[in-house]
Amino acid sequence: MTINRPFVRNSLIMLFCGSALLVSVVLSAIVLIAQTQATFNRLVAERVARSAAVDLFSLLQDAETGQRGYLLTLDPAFLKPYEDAVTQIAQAETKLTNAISALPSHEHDTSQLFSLIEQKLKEMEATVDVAQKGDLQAARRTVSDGAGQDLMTTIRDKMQTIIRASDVAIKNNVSKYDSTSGRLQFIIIAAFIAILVVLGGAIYIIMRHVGSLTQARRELMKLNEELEMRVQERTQDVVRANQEIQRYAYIVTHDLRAPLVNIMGFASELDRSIKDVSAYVLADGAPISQQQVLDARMAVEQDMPEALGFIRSSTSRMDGLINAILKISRDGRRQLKPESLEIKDIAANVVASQQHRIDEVGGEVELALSSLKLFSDRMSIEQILANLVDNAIKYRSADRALRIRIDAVRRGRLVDIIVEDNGRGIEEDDLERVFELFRRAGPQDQRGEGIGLAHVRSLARNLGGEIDVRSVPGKGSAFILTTPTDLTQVLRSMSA
Amino acid sequence: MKANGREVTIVMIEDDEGHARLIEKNVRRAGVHNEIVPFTNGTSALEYILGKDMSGTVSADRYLLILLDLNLPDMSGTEILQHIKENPFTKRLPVVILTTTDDAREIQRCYDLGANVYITKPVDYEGFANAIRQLGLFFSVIEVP
Repeated sequence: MTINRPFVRNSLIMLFCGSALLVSVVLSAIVLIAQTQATFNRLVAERVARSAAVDLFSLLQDAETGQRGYLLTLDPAFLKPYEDAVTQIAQAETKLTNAISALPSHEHDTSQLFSLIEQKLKEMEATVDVAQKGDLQAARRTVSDGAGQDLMTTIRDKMQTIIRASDVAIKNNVSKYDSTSGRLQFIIIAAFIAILVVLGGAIYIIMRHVGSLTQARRELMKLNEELEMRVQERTQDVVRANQEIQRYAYIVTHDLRAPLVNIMGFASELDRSIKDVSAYVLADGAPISQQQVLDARMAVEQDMPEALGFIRSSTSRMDGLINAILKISRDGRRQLKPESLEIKDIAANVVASQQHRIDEVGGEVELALSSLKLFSDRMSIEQILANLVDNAIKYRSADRALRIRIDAVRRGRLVDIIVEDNGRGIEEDDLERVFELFRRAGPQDQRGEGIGLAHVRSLARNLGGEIDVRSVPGKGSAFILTTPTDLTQVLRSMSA
Repeated sequence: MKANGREVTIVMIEDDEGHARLIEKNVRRAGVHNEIVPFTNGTSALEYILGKDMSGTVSADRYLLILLDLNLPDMSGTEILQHIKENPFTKRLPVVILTTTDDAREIQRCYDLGANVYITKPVDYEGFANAIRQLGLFFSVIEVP
């Protein structure tokens, strides 16, 4: 399992971009907030300056109103607001100066204003003083003279200028504040979206990563299981092969030892006979008893030919056994040649080659199989089928006419080739034994070495298949050859 | 060798005719002159001992001693042993296993199934002849029911 490198790289880049975006959004929000704060402060300062200016002017107006009222009525009650206003004016002036100096940029012109106010105050004080001394006419004249009025107009103009400038500044700052807050809002919304995107991306990447990890783990587990199964299969094969070799070695040693016992035994018997004969032949004129003559006769006529016969037959039996073992071993080593085969044709050929024997016993063969293609070793399949058909003819039942039925059934990648007969059948205890080397089952009324089915089994296993039998004693047997449809796969997995 | 005053018949189940002949020769040399009935396969031997119907009644009043080879072409010797020892009429018949097999498990199995003596055929003839002679001695002292 390989990790998707471009995927990891892309997701890292995406995560990095998202994070950068987020950081820039946060930074700009901070800058914007600072800007908003500055604008707000400016606005507050401007308002303070404006209200200070308004306050100062209204105090001045209060003082003038009080002065005028006193001059009109000479009622000292009017002097009270006048005097209050005059005392507060200095304070109001300081307030205005401070407020204006607190403003960072735009400079209100207050230089002339304060001297004008001074003049006005002096004019008012003078008139009030004159009136209090009793010269009301002079005081009224001074007022009607218009100098105070002019001063007041100039002051008002100045004040108006300051207030108007303040208003403009306030208006500007308010709209600036508005636009900054709008931008801030936009930035915050953008930040929210960016957070969502980055978070979503991160979750998506994590999920995908976790998903691929889980997938990888599952695949690993599956592989592990398969591996274990394959190991188990192989182990079973090895155990089976080992058991077979042991069984084989056991049979071979026993069967080879049996003729050896004969050879050694009859050689000794021969030796004994020679003694009997030599007692007669090498007597050289010495007297021979009647018994010795009889023994010598017996030895030459019976014992010696018998011993020689057994030695000869045992030797040829040993030779036969060795040849049979060699044949099976050679079959196991023969290079299999997979080719395209039609089972129906092979079965028909095998039956045709034994047709004369089938006719002799009045038998009948039914080729029930339909057309079925195999990719396998022709010689092995032919030999297996020939052996099975030969057995069916040999071990037919004496009570009824021989019937052989050959069929083939496909099972996925395997095919079952079935040779069924109505012969004498095999006892249940002998079902395994019939496949063993040099072993035969049932009445020994037919010639045979006990090699055929052992040979069939070794051929079937070489093809990666198996031979099996089911039988009802007295009714018939069915031999089932199970073999892969494609031998090349078997050969490949064997060499692997 | 007699049982209840009657001659005991030796049933020899041995597929190898040479072995059969050698056994017979050596049994005779050991001074045993009982009738020997040879069989070369298990099917016909069992038929003789248990009868065609495998009931064993044919052996009810026969005095048999069975010499059995384990490796037979048609069935295994242990199977024959089992049949004989399971049958109520034949289970007391003495069975001598005489075979080339010296596998310890096989020997144990035969004794478990009720074999009376187990003898491995030695390849060298002196040993073989000696074993049979001793078997003759055994025959001369054995009581057959």
